[in-house]
Amino acid sequence: MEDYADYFKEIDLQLESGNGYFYFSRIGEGKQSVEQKLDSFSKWLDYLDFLKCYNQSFTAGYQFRKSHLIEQISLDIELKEKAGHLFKKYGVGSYLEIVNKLLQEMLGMGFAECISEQDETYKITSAFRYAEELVNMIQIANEDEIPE
Amino acid sequence: MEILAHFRTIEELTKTLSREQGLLSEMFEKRKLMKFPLGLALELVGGNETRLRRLVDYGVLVETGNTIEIESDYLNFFEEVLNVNEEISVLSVQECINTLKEYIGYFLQETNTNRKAGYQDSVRQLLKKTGFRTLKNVVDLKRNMDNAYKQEPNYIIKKKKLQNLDEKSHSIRSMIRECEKLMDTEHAFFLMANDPHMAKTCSDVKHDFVEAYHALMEIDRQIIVYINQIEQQNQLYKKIRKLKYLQDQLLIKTDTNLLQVLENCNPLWMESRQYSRIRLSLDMLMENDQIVAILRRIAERNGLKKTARTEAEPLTDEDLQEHTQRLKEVDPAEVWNAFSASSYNLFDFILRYDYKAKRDIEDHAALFCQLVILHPDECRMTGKYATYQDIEYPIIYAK
Repeated sequence: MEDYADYFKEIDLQLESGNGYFYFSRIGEGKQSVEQKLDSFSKWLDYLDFLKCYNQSFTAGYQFRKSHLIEQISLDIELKEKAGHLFKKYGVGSYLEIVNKLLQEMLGMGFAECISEQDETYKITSAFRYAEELVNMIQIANEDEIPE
Repeated sequence: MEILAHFRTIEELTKTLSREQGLLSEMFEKRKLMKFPLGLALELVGGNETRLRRLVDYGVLVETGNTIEIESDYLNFFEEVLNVNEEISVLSVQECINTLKEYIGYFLQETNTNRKAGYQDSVRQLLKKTGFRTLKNVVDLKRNMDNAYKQEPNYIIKKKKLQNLDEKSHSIRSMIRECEKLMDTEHAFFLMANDPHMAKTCSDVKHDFVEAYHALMEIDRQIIVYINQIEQQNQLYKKIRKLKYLQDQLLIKTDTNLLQVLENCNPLWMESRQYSRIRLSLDMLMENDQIVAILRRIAERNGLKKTARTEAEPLTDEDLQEHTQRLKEVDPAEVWNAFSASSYNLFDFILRYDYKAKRDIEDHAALFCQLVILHPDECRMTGKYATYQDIEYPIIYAK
């Protein structure tokens, strides 16, 4: 682990570890502006909100089928509405495309793994905790307000 | 209400049960799956309705409309004996303890030795049963807890179930405590009934209790962990909803410390990805079809469809045939050489020369001037002029 950290230090990357996952962060000043970070975060907040709406117990170790997720979208009016907003700016249309795109993002971040290509079953990895911890780090000022 | 017949002897009971074992075992196996249809039952007893009727009359089976089920007394009996009962009944243990107390009371007051020995046996059996029941309850508790946590899809029910199991574990614990107290405080009685069987049973039961206690501690811990996990997930869920709400209201920057959090970390994934272009060698692209196929596949996967636009259609047969196009140009040097070998004057020569293409009078005039300018020293001016159509020209010969 330390060997790797030293190795990546050479290219200004810090290898960081969390509970069951690793990630890189940049040493010193980041290249991106706060707005950029905000954009990235809000994108994932949308995803998280959608996934937690799909199933409250959506966390590391959760297993689901792509087809079930799509099925659920067409059943659940709330989910349907959220799904519609997910990739609006990319002009993604059908629920299948939305789910595909979402899965692609999840796979790209290492949050999910495909465990069976045949029936398209996906499993959430420990890395998903990273997103959860990020959310946990944020403090909300007026905690008492109840969202609709 | 009809009066049910009774089995008068154990022999009669076991014989009846063994004769219908096929039906009974089938029904027992499916007790949780479905109501057993009458027709199927009839089939299993060989289509003999009197045999089925007999079971119903003796209260082994109960008929409800078109289905039949095993009477609860027998069902409990089977489950108990086969050790498959999954319900955790704290009550049964409590009952055991109560009866135990009763019998101890009888034992202490009984003066007849024979009957006293009888009570002693009952106490021993009960004690054994209590220990066994407790241990079994604990095992069931553990299984139920795991099931509840891992298989219950509904979050609220899951939490409720775990809380109930937690309560049950507490009552089992208090039961054990009560029984242990009984065994300790009624010590006088145990001294009095100091026979080896009793002593062994006592130590067995105590051992069972210790084991159950340990298991309970573990179960408690596990339940707390599970409940906490659920709670944690619940909180996270609520928080995500709230953040999402704030984001939608455009309040997320002012109402949270999100900006600070983001300023403090620079994870790589938030940066936009850099693309490094690799230019492929043209020679390689032209020679190797495989590379083109690979590029095509990549483009397809990334949803690019524009590649075809920069590519020309394949050449047709017509394109491959030879086409010749004759230019109007003539080589002035060639014309001059031919002229210098002739005896014509220049203009006449230009008019007669075989050009292999049609030329008009203006082209001739241009060529005339060109030749004179190119070869001024080789021209022999005669000083005479002639006219051709409306052009007046000097008569020039080669030197």
